[in-house]
Amino acid sequence: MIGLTGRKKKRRDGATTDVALRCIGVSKSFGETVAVQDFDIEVRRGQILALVGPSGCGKTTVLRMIAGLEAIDTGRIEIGGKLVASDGRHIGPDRRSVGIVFQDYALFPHMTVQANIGYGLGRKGRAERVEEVLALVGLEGLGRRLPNELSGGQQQRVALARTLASRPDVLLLDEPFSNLDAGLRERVRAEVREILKAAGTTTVFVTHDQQEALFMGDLVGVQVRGRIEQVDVPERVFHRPATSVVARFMGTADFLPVDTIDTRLVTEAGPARAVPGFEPPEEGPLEVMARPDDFVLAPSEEGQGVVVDRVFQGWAYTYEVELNSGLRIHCQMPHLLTIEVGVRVLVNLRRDHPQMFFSNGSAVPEVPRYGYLSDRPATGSPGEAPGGAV
Amino acid sequence: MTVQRAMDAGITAGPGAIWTPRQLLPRGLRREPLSLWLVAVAIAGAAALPAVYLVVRAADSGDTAIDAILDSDTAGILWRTIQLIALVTAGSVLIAVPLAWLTVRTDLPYRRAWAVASVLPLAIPSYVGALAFISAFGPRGLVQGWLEGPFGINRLPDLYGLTGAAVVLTLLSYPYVFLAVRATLWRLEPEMEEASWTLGRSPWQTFRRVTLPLLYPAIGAGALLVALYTLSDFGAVALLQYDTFTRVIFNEYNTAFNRAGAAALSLVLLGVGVTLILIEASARRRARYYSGANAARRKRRIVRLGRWRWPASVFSGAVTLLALGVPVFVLAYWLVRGIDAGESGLFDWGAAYNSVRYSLAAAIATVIAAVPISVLSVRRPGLLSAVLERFSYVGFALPGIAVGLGLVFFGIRYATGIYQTAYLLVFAYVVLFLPVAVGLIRASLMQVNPRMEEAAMSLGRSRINAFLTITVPLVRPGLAAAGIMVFLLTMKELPATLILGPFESRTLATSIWSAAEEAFFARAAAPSLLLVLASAIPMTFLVLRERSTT
Repeated sequence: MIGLTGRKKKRRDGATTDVALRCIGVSKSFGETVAVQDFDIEVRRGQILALVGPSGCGKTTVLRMIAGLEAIDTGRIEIGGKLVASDGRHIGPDRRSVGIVFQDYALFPHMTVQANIGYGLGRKGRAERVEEVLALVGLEGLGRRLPNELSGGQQQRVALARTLASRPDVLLLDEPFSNLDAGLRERVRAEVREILKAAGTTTVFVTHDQQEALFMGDLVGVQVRGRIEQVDVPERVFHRPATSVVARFMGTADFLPVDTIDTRLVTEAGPARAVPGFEPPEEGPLEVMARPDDFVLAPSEEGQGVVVDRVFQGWAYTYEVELNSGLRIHCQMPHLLTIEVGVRVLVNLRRDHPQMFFSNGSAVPEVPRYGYLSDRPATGSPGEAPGGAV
Repeated sequence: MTVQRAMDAGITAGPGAIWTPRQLLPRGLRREPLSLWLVAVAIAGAAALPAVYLVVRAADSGDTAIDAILDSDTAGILWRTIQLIALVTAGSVLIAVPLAWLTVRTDLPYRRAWAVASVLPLAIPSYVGALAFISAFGPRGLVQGWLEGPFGINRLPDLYGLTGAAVVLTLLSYPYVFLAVRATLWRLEPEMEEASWTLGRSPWQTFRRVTLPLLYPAIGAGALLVALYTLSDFGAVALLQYDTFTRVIFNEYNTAFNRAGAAALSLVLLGVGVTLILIEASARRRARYYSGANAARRKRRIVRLGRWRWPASVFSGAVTLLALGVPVFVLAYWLVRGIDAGESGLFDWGAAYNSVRYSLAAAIATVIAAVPISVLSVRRPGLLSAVLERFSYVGFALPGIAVGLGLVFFGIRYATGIYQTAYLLVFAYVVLFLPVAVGLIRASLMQVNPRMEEAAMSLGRSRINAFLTITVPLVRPGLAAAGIMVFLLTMKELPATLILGPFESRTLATSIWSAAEEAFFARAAAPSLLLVLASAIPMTFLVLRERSTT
């Protein structure tokens, strides 16, 4: 929050309109339950923000507050530089220029596809715009169908088209692929990303699926128990998590206690490697984070671990190894090597890249929670094509 | 033997064997037993019997029947009936839709109490409602008496005829639309309206273009019930002296002894009923909406009425006052006056006993008859089961008076043994109320996953055993609701009871009727109040239960 407000002041004179959506310190409680707490975000025009978190973390509430379907308790929300919600101010959803695609699409069952898409448009130029958007989502010729005559994937695209038709400043997608089966989902999400990029629409996209967030987002925001843990480009959220909560949520991660002996960092799985100039904290425990591919495994009578489980994944095996201390770790090894359960193994951390260290749940050295903001005002953030509606 | 059973259950499928789901079922499960079909055919046939005998009787009389239709001003009767149906249906929709919306979607004060009060007029038989209105607003009625002294008003607008019949029937039948619209409003997905708002439409535009069209099927279904209720009503139109089909048919049969004419007119009546059903069905086919599968996920949005709370409360209050308050007050007034005057024979316990006896028998018989048809139409959807279901719906389109007449002809000719006995009367009730029971039982059967019964059979239970131990307990609420509904409807039923009732065996309905015909209000009050109370209590229970499950 501090970082954001500070930035905002600095940017006052500059191009604020570049920011399509800004939330500052937004909170919301339902009775005793705190759904969202101190939510901060800044999304630039044309960017896709993927908001990911376990179910019940308040991400849908965030979408509904941005859309104006829920009032906020504290904080402020700006859309396209215009204040739409703050303490005591609430602009209704019909006057916000946001579009929302619901989890189960909420298509109007009594209207044709055309009528659904044209629903939010004025009379003038409606037919042309409907055709245009139908073409954009690849549903030419299906305009006269009723929603229940379409497949799930097609209904999804109609919902998207209906929302895109009125060119909203911000598009909100609530778990849009959760009603599709696995095979279809991968194809549809690639199509949707292409459509959104072609339309140049600023998007906030909510999901509980990490893979989906990494694939869809220009930015990935991790929300846990109503709070934003980290927002950054997908690569950094995955490889440089700001907290151990983010690290665990974004994929399998093991944490090994580290002993500092002189300048060496020693773990039960051998020495760990830090970035140059790394300084361990003065006090408190230090842990190193390891993803399954950060370990090397070899059968050995002298090894410090025993294989307790093995999961075949086609291209690789994932072994669960119990170290002498009782700690269990996960290592992924190519399928060329097969180790049976019960075999003693020697486990070592890979030395070819520096690892991430954590103390009391936070990264050491500290990783900024809003790392993407320091990329500015460098020209454009990754994979972004601002402006230009269709 | 064991191997065979295991094979049948698909357990010993060897490596590489591919079983279709159908083959996985034990053999006996793949088809419903023939006996069930035969029973269902017999029941559907019996339900169609009154209609068939009306046709037979009319055809026998040949020219006489045609003359009867041509002579007796059929076009006039038809026109009057249609006018009444149109007014009552339109009035019911205009009252019920706002009332349903207010009680589900707004912060109307005491909206739960209003919801229950808005359903209760269903507990009032039409002849009791008409009687109360005549006593209150008729010439020399209570209201005029109050107004005459202080205001010198000695003439109220005429209650008899179309106006009075339309008002009374609207106030008593709007709950059918109310219940249907309410159920749909509960199920409506809030996302539908939210989507409309985020697309830039105001709340009013959203209501007009999204919410209201989604309510059309419910309004249509409710309106059909209101129209059929109006078409088949005999008590209110007779007391209010408005000549619709039912009143003319009864007079032809009862006073003019023109049986051929009565049969012929009953056929025209049946035609009107079928037409109404077809109109509603074709409207429904055009609107193939789906019902929200995952409604109730989020709490529905409550509209704040603000200063509109007062007109809304006045509206709800006025409806309840007229539909419920007037009849109850008038009946209580006459009861108290009767007791004060020390009149004897105010209450006929024998009639109450007969009513309960017949209604209990009708409820049990109807539920038993409804089960085979419901099971087949839910579990074996197909041409034959659809035809059977339609046949069981005869009572829906055929008013009580026509069912009564059909069975009179049948009884006189082929079943003199049971003619003028309680058996034939109960049979008439079964025919009349079978559609209601089938509807309720079907709905609860559809909630039961057939896989559960199949699981029970794969665990070694017989078909009957699985049905009795798994399905029946799960649909028990539906069976109970069907039984209660049939019981209530039978208690109130008048025209068939008048025509088929055994000699010298009065029921609550017939004793109210004979008192009402002579405008002997004090004598009608006690049985009427008892009838209303007996219906209101289980009805309140049904309404409250419905809300807790939706």
